[in-house]
Amino acid sequence: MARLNRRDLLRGSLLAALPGAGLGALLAAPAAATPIPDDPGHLQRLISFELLAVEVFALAERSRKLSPAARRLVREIHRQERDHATALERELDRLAPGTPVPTGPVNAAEAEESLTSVGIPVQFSSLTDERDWFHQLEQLEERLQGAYFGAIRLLVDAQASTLATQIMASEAQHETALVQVRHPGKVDQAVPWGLVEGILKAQG
Amino acid sequence: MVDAPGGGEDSRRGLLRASLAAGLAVVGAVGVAGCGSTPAAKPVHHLLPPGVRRHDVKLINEALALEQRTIAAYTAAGPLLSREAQKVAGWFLGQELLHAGQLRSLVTQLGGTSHNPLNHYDFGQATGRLQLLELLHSLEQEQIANYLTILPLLSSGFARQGVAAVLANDAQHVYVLQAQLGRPALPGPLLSASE
Repeated sequence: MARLNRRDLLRGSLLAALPGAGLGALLAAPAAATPIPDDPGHLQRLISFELLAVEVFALAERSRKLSPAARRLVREIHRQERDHATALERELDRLAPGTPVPTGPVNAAEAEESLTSVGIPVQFSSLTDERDWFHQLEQLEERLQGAYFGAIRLLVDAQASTLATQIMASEAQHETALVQVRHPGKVDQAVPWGLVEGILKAQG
Repeated sequence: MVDAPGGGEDSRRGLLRASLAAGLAVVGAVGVAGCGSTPAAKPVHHLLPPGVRRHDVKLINEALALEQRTIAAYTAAGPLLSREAQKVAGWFLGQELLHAGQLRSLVTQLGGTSHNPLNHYDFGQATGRLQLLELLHSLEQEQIANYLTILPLLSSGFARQGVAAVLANDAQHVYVLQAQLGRPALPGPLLSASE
């Protein structure tokens, strides 16, 4: 499969081929009044978001700020985010063979830029301890859930929609697992919402 | 296994029955109240053909029936759990009530009549706190399996989205209950019927 450069997506050079591409656009997409069926486009945006998560979790894992138990959890979630991206790429290939696959950020600076575009302004060098890192990771998980929640309504293909739901549920479990490290025994913080919708809009 | 405070099986069963009766009364009241509190409140389903709407109503009502059974189980089992697990069960009960409200709301928007809880649910004979937690865990799993079955069959993206919000929360419940049961491992990357 051909791959789209992340910057192509973010800077909109392929807008003709991929309407509304980019993570900022991803967050806005669910608000469209009359959605036009574009399952490959939705999947591309979700892949792009997952690849961002892969890079951020990799950075967290390498940060040397985590306890061994926290690092084990982050490593496991990192692996699962990669699995999500792979599953979405397979789905994209099933729906639209040959469609370009986005690439993710390849370093901290690119990841910071992408995080800022989804409403999480951060400089990794300013994260001084495990608490700081987990706070960022939890925010990222909320944005991922929001992206999937929006996409589920727009995806027309039933299999693709079900896959998006399975992954959204996994992201919700990730958030619960991360919060439990910071707030053990606090179920109201680990599972705060009865309806998981994530965060759709950038904050702040 | 640890017995519930208050002694043997007879008192436990009595308490289960009493809690269940009280819980069902709450379910009836809150289930209705929950209708207005859900985010899925846009009248878009009238655009679907009646046959399609009926099909979706049937699927969502089946899910609602499972939610109502789980609500009854949390209501009945909650008082018999350890103090920490009681806190978890109480919190999850509130969220299950919200799920029922969400599903009722979807059914109403589709022009259907929502399923009412039964007067009696048979949960077998749970004899200790761990078994009760296992029961709650298995009911949550059953709900997830059902949601994963009906999701691709639902016609409306709006309904799929509403159901997905419930399913993801049940997945969080399963994760926490697994930890309560001493199995704190993160489930697989794609939620499946066994999780």
